[in-house]
Amino acid sequence: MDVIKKINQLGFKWVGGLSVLIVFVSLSLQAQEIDENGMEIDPIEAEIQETQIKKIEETVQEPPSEDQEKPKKIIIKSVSDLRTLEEYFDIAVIQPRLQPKSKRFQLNASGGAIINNPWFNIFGVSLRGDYQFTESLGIELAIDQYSGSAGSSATDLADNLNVQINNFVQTKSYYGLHGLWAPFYGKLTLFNNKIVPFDVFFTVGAGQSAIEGARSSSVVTYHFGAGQLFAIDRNLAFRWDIRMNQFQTESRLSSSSVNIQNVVMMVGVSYFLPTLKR
Amino acid sequence: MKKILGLFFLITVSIKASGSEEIVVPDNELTTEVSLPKLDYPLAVKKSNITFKDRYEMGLFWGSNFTEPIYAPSKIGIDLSYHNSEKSSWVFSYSQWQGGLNSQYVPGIEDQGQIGGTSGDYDFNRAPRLTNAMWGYYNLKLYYGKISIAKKNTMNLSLYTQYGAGLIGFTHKSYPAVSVGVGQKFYFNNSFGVKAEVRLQYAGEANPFLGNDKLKKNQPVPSFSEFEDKYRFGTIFELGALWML
Repeated sequence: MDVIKKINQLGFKWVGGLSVLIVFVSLSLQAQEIDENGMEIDPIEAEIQETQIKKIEETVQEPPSEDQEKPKKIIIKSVSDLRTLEEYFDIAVIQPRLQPKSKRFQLNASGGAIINNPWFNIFGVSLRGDYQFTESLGIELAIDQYSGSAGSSATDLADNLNVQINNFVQTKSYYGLHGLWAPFYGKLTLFNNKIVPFDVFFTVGAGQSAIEGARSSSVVTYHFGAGQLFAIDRNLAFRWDIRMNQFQTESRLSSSSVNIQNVVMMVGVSYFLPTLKR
Repeated sequence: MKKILGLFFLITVSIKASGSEEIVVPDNELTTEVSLPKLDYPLAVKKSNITFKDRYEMGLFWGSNFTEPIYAPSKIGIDLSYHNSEKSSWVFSYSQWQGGLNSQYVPGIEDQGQIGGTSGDYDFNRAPRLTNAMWGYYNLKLYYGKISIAKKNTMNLSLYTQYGAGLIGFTHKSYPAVSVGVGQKFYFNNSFGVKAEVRLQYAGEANPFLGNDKLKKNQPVPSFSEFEDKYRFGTIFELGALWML
């Protein structure tokens, strides 16, 4: 009997407790908050938002010191264990660059021509050594060597008008130091099959040109260039650039100073060091 | 009652783990290499921002013949293109040369008439003038892609090769010409862009270097037919704006 009484008492207690629970829940559902616009606020949604804000704040906090408790280790043994992880609320997909350039050397060998000299056909080779501090900034050491022959205009001028071609300024070589800036990065598709990443860069600097046909044999030269670097793989790239080397000198043809601008077009291959695994 | 309230507390309040977690994944579950799928028909671009097929393109450009020693090397022109496919287009171009003589080289050469004992400067105004040019080109687009500007905006661009044939007009007659070159176009949107082209040209001209002192100012003016026809290589550079219609 005592037991039955006790059970009944417990039962009443359970009923009473459950009733309190039901009443509490229903009241909390009815007690919707009203925002400033008069719209009802869903408390569950508000709590989720509040939680997300707290998570954002936690991620910008300082990392835990050594005195603090070490992070909990979760060992993943199978794919199903991934369900135990916390959900991501902010996902960013960052694709790595195929050919990173920061803190790497670039060795470039190119061939080309001075394309704006009307009197000489001037071809040249170029060696460049670049070092990039960041993906967009670097320095470049340039060595260009040129060789030219008289074009048909110079030959006709000499033959018909008796004006000698050694009176025209011809550039033999150039050595210079340039700053490099690569602000643009992009991707191209080749016939819509293959994707080729590339960089657009600019170079500016100064150096020395060795010249013929002028009253001086060596002149200070100012350089400006632009080019593109197409990545072949992580260490190799195809490079082409168009460069302008400008200097002032007194030519033998004229007693006054003349401004000479050599527009040089070069194409070649660049190799990057240290090498990265392909 | 206490037990009920305790149970209620357990049901309604969720317990969250605090602090960060270190996730350990077995090494044999981690990928060690990346291999891209080999597709029978790979497609790098599913939907281009810029479409070309069956569209017309109009352009205005400025150009220069870098290897022109006597005549003024600058020109301006217009061109009209029809893109017959996403990869190729046909172009008609008309340009008007600046007129006059090359101020960089001609004054020095004309002064040389004094050299050699014969008197009188040379006068290149006696030679036939370069007037205009008409060209037809075929553009083959090799690359199409995009470029990011300051990590905020992107522009589309195309890289193409160009093959052309045309006529170079002088005061007295026209000469045939052929060319081959490369160009790049940068598109700000589906309608407007800019272009840069470099071309190697082989063209005829009236050779301005007429001998026998016939260019000297103190000699009778020669007729245009006395200037021989000559074919030379030249380097052409063009910059322009374009509108896709």
